[in-house]
Amino acid sequence: MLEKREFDKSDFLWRLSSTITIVAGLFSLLVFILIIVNYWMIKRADPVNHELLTYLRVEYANAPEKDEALAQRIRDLDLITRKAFFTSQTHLRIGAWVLLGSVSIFLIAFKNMMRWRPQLPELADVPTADKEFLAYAQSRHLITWAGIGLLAGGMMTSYFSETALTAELLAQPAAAEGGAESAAGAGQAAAAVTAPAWDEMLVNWPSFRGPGANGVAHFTTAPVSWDVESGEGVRWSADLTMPGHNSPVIWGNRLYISSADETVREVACYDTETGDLVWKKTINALPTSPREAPDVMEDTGHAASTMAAHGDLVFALFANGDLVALDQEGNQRWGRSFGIPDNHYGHSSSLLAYGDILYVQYDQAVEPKLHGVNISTGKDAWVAERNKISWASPILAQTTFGPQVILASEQDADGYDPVTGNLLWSVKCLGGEVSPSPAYANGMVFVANEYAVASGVTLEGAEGAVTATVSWEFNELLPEVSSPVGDGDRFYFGTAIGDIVCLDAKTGETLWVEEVEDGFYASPILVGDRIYIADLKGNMYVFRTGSAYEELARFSLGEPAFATPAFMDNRVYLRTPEKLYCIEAP
Amino acid sequence: MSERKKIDRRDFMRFTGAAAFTGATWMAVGEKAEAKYWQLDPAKCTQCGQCTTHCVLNPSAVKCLNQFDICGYCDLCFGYLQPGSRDLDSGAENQLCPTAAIERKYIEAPYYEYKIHEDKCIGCAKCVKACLIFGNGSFYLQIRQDICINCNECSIAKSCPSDCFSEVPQSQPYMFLTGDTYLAHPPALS
Repeated sequence: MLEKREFDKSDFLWRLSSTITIVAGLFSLLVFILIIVNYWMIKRADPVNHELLTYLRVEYANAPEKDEALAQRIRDLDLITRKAFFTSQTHLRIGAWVLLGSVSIFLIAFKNMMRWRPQLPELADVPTADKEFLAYAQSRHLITWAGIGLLAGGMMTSYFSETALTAELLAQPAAAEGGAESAAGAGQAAAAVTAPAWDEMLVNWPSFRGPGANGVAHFTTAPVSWDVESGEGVRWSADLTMPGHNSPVIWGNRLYISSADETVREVACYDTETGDLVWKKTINALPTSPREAPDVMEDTGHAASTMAAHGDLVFALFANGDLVALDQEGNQRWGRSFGIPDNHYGHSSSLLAYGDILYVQYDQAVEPKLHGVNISTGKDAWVAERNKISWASPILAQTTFGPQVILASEQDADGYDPVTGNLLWSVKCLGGEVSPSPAYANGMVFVANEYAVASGVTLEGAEGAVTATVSWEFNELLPEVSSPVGDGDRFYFGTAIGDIVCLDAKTGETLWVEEVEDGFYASPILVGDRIYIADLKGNMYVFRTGSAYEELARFSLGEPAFATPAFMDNRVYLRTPEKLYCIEAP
Repeated sequence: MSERKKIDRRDFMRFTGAAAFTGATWMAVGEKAEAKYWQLDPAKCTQCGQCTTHCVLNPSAVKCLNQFDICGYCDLCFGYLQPGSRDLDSGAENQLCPTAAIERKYIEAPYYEYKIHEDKCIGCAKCVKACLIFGNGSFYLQIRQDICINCNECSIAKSCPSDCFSEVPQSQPYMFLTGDTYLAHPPALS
């Protein structure tokens, strides 16, 4: 009997019951929060009116021919939707019983904890009210901290449980077209893709303004003049039926362009030898794609972003935020939706791939970001926060300090590590709503924007410790949309009012200005010692690089020119609003 | 010691009268005080879809049933297949039910049996509506009493636009349809 009393007096039981109380309380709160989140999700789920399923079923029924890939997609989405709905309900039922049990344990343990709590000797000089306050102080602290801990844990848990389904939907791989591949491709992990080396990229035209999107062609020969009306110099041409301001990209003997209007998104592949349409792929809505088309300006359209061709894969980004990866046969390898960008002009940044990463400059009013997307899976390898936005495109500069991804924004030029996405340097040197992309040549970055300023930024230091300083500024004639190009000694650009401007790369001094017929949206391309640039009326200007303007050719393309031409192996590939041309020197 | 109160004749008559009145009232209302269940009348139902969303339970206690003696066992079942389905098979792209609660089982050419899995049914009535418009009308809705918690004021009843919900006695809790007419209390369950 004496032993029992001594045992009672020890604080073992009090500690035990306290621990059980805390654990049971935490667990109960966690379960409670999960139940609330689950209940909310069930209330939101509406299996009767699933918009995407309804849309896909109508699309399937209206298709002229039976589309097995679409049928498989409907089956996959139907399964996911039902599974999510009924699983949530099962979890809700189980959770209610678990909560009942854990709350019961909590109450019993709490009762025992109060019973066995250490009894301190009463102090005669402490007033009654203070004694009670002191006696319950520990409990108050306990409950307060337990509540804070539970709340934090619950919020984290609810966040992760909520994002689980979203992640599942986001990562939904599109079923590859065709029979067995369709079923196999739907639920399996994406196979790793071998990324092409930089040397391979140089002999192709993988992105907007060529390798690295810097406006410099690896090939140094190209026809100087041609005539689309008479057909002189035209190897082949193809009619285009869908709108798109993006430029052609080429990998091997295949040329890719994207097109889109409010409802239809397409990617087309042409044979560069013959101009034959190899395939045309309609890009269906993804499970998380926005249901409404974005508001875009006519000058921007729904397919302004130039694709990226990268070995076995090509990538396309549309104005609604849908990004897809296709293989060379047009099979969709993966797709993801970034959501409609909060962007009053429409999205125009082009894609750029290097190594295993696809760079998506997703600048928008809210939370602008540079996404480093894994080319094999479509998931983010990293995400870099952006302070300011632009409508420009990223470039890859092969500097003496290693490769860098360089972006322009409303106030900065920024350099990023292409592998980690870490910001290497940032310098304030811009202003206004920036559309021209940066240009890099010989250790110097050049950024410019109309109604603001142009800046020459010098990169110095060592790999991993690069400093960027503004060497000079220029604010007379400036580009609005067209991006600049550098030949190492000079930078060249076209303005929106119809000037071709040449600046000294080291000093920013104006070397020459050539006034031409119309303004420029398309960007200049450096091919050997020649620069090609087309104005909005469709006049092509070919001039020699140097400290004076030396025009080699000036002729009409017959149509307005928004897109920048591609140059490969003695040929020019040109997209006009209605035609795709391949020009070849005799 | 207190003096015991003596009951006189008048008090006795009052007590007896009151007891008789109470007993008679109890017996009179006893029959009507039998427990009642909510049920919907399939004849009034317009398949508005509110049974899916307005029941306090999720999924709803209202389920679809198939009355097999009315069912045509059609190959082209309008309650099972989407309008304009390319194929008359069980692919999700062809099924009308949003939760795939209807099982299609081959009997013999060209007949199929359509069985409803009530654990998957959410009471949306999409199949009921289509079967009623284009088919024999064998699909219909009913409140499952083993699921219903019998709210004092049924949430669906309050919102039902066709006023097809009513309280039925415990002994007759289901309202079936048979052939061209609806039988409120079929002998099998009464």
